[in-house]
Amino acid sequence: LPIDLSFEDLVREHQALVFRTLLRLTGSREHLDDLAQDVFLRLYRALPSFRGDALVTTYLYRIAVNVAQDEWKRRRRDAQSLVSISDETSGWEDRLQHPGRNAEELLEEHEFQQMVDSQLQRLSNIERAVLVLYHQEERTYEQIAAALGLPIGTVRTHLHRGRKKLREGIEAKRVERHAAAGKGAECTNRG
Amino acid sequence: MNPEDANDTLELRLTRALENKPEVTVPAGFAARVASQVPARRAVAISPARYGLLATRIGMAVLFLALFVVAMRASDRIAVTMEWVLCAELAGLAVWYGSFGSFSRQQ
Repeated sequence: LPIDLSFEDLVREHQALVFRTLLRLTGSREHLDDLAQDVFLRLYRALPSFRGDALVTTYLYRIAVNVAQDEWKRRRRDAQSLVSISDETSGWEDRLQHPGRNAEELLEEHEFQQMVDSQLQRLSNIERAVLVLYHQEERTYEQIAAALGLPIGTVRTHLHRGRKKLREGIEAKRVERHAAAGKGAECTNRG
Repeated sequence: MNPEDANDTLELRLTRALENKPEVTVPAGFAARVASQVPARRAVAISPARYGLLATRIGMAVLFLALFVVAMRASDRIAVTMEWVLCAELAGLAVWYGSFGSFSRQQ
């Protein structure tokens, strides 16, 4: 931690990273503020043992993953159903203004994004963490291994397995949808 | 579209969806709120290891003892010369030690 950087500066510098990582890991905007606050308070407590050769972001990712895992445990305890990661503040209507793409394409893309996000929540905590850190946060295998305290080979395995599960989940969902759409059309034809 | 192409397209879309960073709105004043919840940090007294200083002190003590030992046997010219050399070394160390002490206090 640079000496001239206050804790408030540090929070300000990394807050967006923590918010979006937590959002993807928990799949919900609910309690996001509280969780992010928890991450930074845990970081503060860990600062005395902070090693200069480690990046603050490595610590932050590790803590964010732990906080997200605790949140999942809490939800399981409360027996809450899975919450969709639907973007409440910037819906697909906003994205319709994007030039060069028609509304149908954007809607389809938005639905696909939702499907990926919901399937992501079905993965194990560790698979989800690896996928989010690798794809969304653009971390290297080494950085993920350092953040999660895993060997690099294990990170690779989780990444591969996580992607495979995601793909299978999406394909199953699509088949389900096509079947439902087929049934709907059949009923309409009969009617 | 053949199954291989469809698979590639799905992979591509999947990667794009995963790489898509969700938009987040950080509440205004979040950093200040978090910072206000942590206890004020106490000034940490940093006392770096000063092995050089320790070695100087030991050296001075050894020189001082050597001066006495040599003085007791100072019957020939070599012993007297040795006595002066040791004296000079002790004086040099004392000067260096004194200046180092005042320098470190300034910092």
